[in-house]
Amino acid sequence: MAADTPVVVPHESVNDETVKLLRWLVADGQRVSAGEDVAEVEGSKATFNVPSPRPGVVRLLARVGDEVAVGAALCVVSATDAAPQANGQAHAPPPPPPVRPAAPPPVVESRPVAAQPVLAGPGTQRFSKAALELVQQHRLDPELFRGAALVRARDVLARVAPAAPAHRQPDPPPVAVPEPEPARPAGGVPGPANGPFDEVPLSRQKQTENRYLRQGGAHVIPSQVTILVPTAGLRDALAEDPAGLSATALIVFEVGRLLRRYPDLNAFYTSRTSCRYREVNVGFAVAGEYGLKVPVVRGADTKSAGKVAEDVRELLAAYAGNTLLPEHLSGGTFTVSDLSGEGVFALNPLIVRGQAAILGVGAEVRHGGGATFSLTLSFDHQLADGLQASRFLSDLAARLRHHESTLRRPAAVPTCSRCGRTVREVRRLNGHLLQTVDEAGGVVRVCTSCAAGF
Amino acid sequence: MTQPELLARPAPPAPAPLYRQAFLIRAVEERLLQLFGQGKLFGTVHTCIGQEWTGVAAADALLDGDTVFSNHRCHGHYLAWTDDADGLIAELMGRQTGVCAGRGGSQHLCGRGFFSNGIQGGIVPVAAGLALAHKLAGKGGVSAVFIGDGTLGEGAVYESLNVASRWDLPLLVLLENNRYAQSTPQDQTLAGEIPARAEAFGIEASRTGTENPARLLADVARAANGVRADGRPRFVVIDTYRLMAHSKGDDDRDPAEVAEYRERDPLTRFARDYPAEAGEMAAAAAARIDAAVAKADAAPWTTPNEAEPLPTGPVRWSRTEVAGEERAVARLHAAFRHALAADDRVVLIGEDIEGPYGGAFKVTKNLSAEFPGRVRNTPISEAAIVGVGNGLALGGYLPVCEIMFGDFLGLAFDQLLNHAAKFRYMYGGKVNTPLVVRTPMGGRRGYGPTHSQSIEKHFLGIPDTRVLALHARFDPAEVYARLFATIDRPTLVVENKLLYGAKVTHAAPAGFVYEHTDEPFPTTRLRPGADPDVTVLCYGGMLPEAEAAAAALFDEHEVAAEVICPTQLYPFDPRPLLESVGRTGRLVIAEEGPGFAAFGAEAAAVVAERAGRPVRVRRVSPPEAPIPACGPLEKTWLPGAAHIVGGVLEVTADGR
Ligand SMILES: Cc1ncc(C[n+]2csc(CCOP(=O)(O)OP(=O)(O)O)c2C)c(N)n1
Repeated sequence: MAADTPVVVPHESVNDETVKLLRWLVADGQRVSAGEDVAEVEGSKATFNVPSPRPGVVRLLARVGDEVAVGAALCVVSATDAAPQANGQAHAPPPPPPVRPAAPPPVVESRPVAAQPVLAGPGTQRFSKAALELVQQHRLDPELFRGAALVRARDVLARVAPAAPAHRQPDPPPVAVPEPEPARPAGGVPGPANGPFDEVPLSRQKQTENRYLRQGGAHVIPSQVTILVPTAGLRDALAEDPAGLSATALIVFEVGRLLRRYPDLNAFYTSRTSCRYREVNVGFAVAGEYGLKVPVVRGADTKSAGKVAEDVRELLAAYAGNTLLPEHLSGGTFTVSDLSGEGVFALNPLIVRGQAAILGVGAEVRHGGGATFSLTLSFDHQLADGLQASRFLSDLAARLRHHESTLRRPAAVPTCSRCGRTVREVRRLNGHLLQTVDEAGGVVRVCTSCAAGF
Repeated sequence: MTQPELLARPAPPAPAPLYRQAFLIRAVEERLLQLFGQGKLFGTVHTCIGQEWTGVAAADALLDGDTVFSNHRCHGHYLAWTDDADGLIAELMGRQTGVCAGRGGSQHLCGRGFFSNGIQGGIVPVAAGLALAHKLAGKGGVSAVFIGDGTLGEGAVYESLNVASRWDLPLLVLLENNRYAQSTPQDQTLAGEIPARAEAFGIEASRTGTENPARLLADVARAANGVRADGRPRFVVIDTYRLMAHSKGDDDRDPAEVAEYRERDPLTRFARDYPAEAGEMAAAAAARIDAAVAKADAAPWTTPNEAEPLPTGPVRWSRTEVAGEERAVARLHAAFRHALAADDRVVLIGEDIEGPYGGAFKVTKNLSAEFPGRVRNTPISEAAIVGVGNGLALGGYLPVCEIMFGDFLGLAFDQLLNHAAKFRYMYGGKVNTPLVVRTPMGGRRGYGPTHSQSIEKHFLGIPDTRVLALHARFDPAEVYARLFATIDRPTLVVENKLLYGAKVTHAAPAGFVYEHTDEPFPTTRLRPGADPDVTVLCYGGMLPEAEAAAAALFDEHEVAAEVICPTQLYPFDPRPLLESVGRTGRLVIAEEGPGFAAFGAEAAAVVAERAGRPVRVRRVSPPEAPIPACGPLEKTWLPGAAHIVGGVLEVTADGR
């Protein structure tokens, strides 16, 4: 017995994704010949007939008036002989298309709305994903939110923990809600408190930080990879770098170049889509007197190391002067959190909203003959996987180590600590490089022309 | 008023009143040159000294109710047709008493069915359109148009000849062959024979000249009567010579050649043969002109065009219910069917719009059979399509021109910019141009760099025009119904290609509602059911993307976005936008075409100037590059919901 052959909606017009089934030209169970029209359908450009690709007996799958997707089956034709025979006579020719009366412009009824709320009736209410998760987690009745058109996580949390007085007892189990923010799938939402607690409102500064770092509701699936990078003293090498490249600047520079090859780490996730940023704007976390801020080096992939270093210096100066502007802080597509200066071994940085990954840099740890430091990548597992993340980190490590080796070389050439000329350049000017000692006992080299200026 | 003593001598070659007219024209032109020298005129003047008889002959052959189109060298044509020396002189002197209130100046005159425009060739399809209007009106009117021989280089001329012949239009083309175009002698630029050009289109061509006025009068009258008799076009080549410079001080012709023609000039000869009569005619003309100049001198300068003020005051919103769930293409079809049935003035023209095909996007399916003669296929001639539309509009019709793809509008740009958009102003408010040009724009269909563009930005900001962009959340049929009821200016309607297949409904994503302002061409807003955090501005084909973005922004990021979507892009009423950004302080503008100098730039500027608070703005638009045909690439090229989400996350990122 031959298998059923579907009769699919052909791709007649590029403008249509669906067509409307106007009427059947055959009856269910009727026998048709190859090429015989079985249905009349309407696309945006035209109505047309759909023929059967083979002889057989039709079984209808759609109803008149249905919107059927292009490529989907309207009916199937099977070769079975058992099918009832249509009563011998050819079916009547299709009646002429129905004559539709001239449709006047539709009656549109307008009702003025004077700042009246968007009414939420059944089926018109919207829960954010985070809110929905909380509703399920706390087994709440969605009816509780009747009247609210848009329901956020904080609206749900407000129901779970209504305006908590200070020094409350935790029993019956309320939920401590320090900040109405969306749930994180990996246990990010504080569970029931384990004892009495005090409520201390967070500072505005901290709240802003939290909003900024919040992982955009429940949409990130965080994952993490850490590698240890052997080093012969990258920081020491950089400290002697005549170009003044700081560790942060070097990492921002290399990360910027590398992200071009890892576009899914320079992206954000939404609705089953990797939204890859067209620019590479690398933010770096700074924490100090003015709280945590993440100034952004724009176009980091297009700038020279020197230019990146200059940007970083300027942004740090702006932080120190508390003159960072919103445009310094916005538009980041990737973030670096370098806590090496704090002696942190490794960290678990939070992915910034609208980004796919954040790099954490740990401090150099000396052991035995050498030293290592850690590189950690927190990333959105919806966009990348552990293998990709570790490749990114090893590539980055290799590039940093390359710098280490090249940076050491110029440091070996003695230079004037004031004008930066090398011995050779000083000689060419018929000068000499003098070596003296500063107040702290450190070695200082000054060329004769700089010395003459004293 | 033939002088009795004239009869005693050899008969002059044409009736004396016509000589009087010709002398008046020459005297006016000479005085205009003087006034120019005195700094009383502006710009320049193109005089017709030596060519006066062309206008005289046309005016003699045509009847009341006919229409006359002309070009830069139009003073004589106008004077012969109207005898309005006062209005002409005041017009050139920029006075309110001028025939066009002093707004049109030398090249733009309008009165008693006369229209001139200084754009070479562009007026010919307009004349053809008015010929179509005469034909539809069925009162035997003739549309005459003057062109110069240099203008035979313009393509619009041939598009018009083709249409006029194919459609049997009563069009009389009068070609003034003075053998020069500005400074360029004809033999440098003209190939082939002039009459053969018209004959190639099956148009009867004849040749005459101004040297023998009597013959000229007879030849032009024969052609005009022929047009009137059989309704078919005629093409008359009138050999003539301009005795003065092209305009002012730009004459490089051989002085001997000019002198020879001056000898042969009919007015020179008449003055020699009839010195007393000529003297009397010249004196009478001078007296009329003196009086006209004195009156104009005393009249006030023209006033600027009163730009229509945009509405002020608070915005009023309402919800609108759309019955049923029809596709937009069906709504558009219904709108045109209804308009054709309800109003005899509505005429649809365009490429491939007749049945059974019914237009590339099937909007006019079967309408040609139902409304014969009023739904017309045109040749592939975009300039003529819009030009004919312009002529129909001047003739009292409501033309709807379909341009098959928006990308082709460039070919009709001159008709929009220098004709449709200028008529009302430069003709002193005597006419308006109720022209509708509708066209599909936009991508997502893989038609490639020349069939997928959104080029409306090039048509925004032309004063005295309107640009509308339709979408499926406010019934497109309603927009057209209101347009037909109120149209007072050329209107470009942008229909996104995806719109045709979209269901027209007011349904909004859960948690949001659609509302509209109470303007005739409303701004639509998708209002979230919570205080909005951010405003998204878009129009036309971007609304579905913005709608999807608003839903995703709430679901995944808990951001409440309010979408503002104007139907009327120009003139732009910024109140709904300002109201929204006043609440949100954040704005993302999404456009389907490249953003440089586009609608979004204008909206951002308005927000910067008038929002009254700092607003963070991001624009979301495709790269500054041609749109690819390759489907997957086109998808990444065009901004979609995800890009809007990205833009919103940027402006909301720092929690401000
Ligand atoms: C579209 C356009 N191109 C160029 C010009 C500039 N222009 C004005 S008059 C003229 C010469 C026209 O020659 P012709 O058609 O022979 O008329 P004539 O001046 O001889 O009467 C030119 C080039 C114009 N006005 N419009």
